[in-house]
Amino acid sequence: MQPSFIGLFLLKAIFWLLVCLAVWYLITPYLAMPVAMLANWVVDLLFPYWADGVLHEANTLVLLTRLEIPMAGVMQAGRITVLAPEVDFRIYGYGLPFLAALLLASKANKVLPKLLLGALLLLPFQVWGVCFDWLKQVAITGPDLYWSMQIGSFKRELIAWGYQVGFLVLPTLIPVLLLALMNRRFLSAFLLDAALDGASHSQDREK
Amino acid sequence: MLRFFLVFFVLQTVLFGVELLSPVQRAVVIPWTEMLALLSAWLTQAFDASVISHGIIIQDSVSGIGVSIEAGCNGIEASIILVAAILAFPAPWQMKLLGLAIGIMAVQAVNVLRIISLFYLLQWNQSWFEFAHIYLWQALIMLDVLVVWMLWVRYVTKRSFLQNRAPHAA
Repeated sequence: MQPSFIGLFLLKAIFWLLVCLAVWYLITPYLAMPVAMLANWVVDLLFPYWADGVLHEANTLVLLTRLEIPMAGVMQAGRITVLAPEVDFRIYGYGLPFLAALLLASKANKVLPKLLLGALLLLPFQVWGVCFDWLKQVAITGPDLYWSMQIGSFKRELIAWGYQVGFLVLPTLIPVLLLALMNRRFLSAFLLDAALDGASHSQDREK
Repeated sequence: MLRFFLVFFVLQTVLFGVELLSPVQRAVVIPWTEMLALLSAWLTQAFDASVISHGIIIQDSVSGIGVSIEAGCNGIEASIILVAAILAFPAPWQMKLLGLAIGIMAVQAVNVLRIISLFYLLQWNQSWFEFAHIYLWQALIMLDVLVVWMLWVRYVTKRSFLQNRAPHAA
């Protein structure tokens, strides 16, 4: 029995996903660097009054702020510290190995240039995820309610929406959309395969 | 293609916004997630009697180790993406409804497999659980959505080809 076009694509995609995730997992600290730089630029631009910059250590991106909070613990009573929400870059970065797996499984030509372009195109969405995660930690789940209270309920809802989209949807949806844009030959081949299947069924009926 | 992407993005954004509303969470998302936990535990009990569920948690009653089915693990976001992709694709409404019914079931079936596999993976190794939970299964579920959508598009294309051929064949 000949495997179907879609079945073959699925098997190849699973195989390449496992391979690409393993490779990606080893190099994530380097891939986090451009995200840290872009996120630094975004917070400087949007939150100059309370954000001091971004600290990048391996896979962790820390937002340095001037937002003061009381220190936790009995021994620390009366002392204050500053809020510094942390995000693991990998939570928002695994779209790249997914895109690589999809391109390889769909037999895209010029995979490497497309992957480099894809990595660049994924950056804004990764920055979205990281920034909204920081904002969620400041405005919704932060250790001190004071800063949360300074933000209106509508803005809090907006932050919750942005966080959920950045966490649940963008890391996996954008690679699929990039596949559709970068490998139109695959889409055409898939539709042609469906039409040919229809044609062969039609001929069978006529016989 | 542009029209498809525009409709897809609008539907996706609206449906995702609706999903996050508190009344929708209370009336649909939480009961659905509890039902998923119940179903996962029930299926698992066929070969492992120690598995129980309460609320959105499935747990091993012996070791006490359990997983909580949170947002993103209940398959609702994946189903929303599939709904938006099916509705945005030009096809007769009858085929869209068929695609939605079978497609959502297929996505949810794979999601139940994800929950059960993650439940056992956690009991074996925390690090592998984290890896599979955060990266591998997230991508696999989206791959599932893509493949289900492709199968539906293939069906729609085949059917419209057969319908267009019908007058000539007669």
